[in-house]
Amino acid sequence: MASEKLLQAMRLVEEASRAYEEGDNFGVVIRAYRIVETLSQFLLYLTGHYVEANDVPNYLVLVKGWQKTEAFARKLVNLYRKLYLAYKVEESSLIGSVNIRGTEAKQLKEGLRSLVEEAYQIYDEYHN
Amino acid sequence: MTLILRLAGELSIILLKHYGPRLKGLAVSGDLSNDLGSVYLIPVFENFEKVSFFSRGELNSYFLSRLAMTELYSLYVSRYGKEPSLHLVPLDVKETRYGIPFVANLLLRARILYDPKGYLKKAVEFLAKHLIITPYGFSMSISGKGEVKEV
Repeated sequence: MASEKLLQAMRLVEEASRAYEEGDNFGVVIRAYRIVETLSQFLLYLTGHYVEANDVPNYLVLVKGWQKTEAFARKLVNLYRKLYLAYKVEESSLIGSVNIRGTEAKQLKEGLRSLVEEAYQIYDEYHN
Repeated sequence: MTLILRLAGELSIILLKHYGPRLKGLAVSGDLSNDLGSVYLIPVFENFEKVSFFSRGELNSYFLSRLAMTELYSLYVSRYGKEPSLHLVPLDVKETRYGIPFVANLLLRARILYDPKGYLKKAVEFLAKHLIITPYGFSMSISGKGEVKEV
């Protein structure tokens, strides 16, 4: 199950890149949020936990016992908290406000690939 | 009082101390009666509109990290084996009346905690005039095909 989540996360990285190229900045937020959820499930599966909830990243405190997985869990929780509002507010009804700026979407998109690659590395090392 | 509501209270104090008079309003909304539900704390500022919602996520992350250092937060985590679903929804005064669905739904059900200039009270009254609370969210009571309502 953990490896399946990694594949799903990598597909979402491709979708985030495509969204950005098409000028769909909010599309990057949607994919980023789903990547965080998917990698949270990955980490929970990897460490032997199944969670059925709408706020899966909040359960990452269950991930204990190895410094690398714990640090990655904190990284995911922080990103989840950064994305939460932009994901919930959505784009369409904003007047003078902005959901995410182009430069922010670019930076976010670029960080997603390395985040998933880090998860792959954790997966390999965890099994060694 | 639920533990998550007490945590929202702690977070309110942190925000009031941090922002002082720059904070123009504060409300709490969400599922206040269930520790495993989602609770939202809504601080209101002036001249905040240009800060993107994504950037405001930094505030959410920063202040929740500060809250995580309190004993009450540790108590919540040890009791429920998870972190609370508690989020900041920082708004510009103008945005309280925009009718952004996620925000309007929270404001319609909000308890106002701090509102020295009456911004939140007026915004909630304005929204309540146009929107009807339903068990699942709210309705704009559009009577038929072709009718458009703007809030």
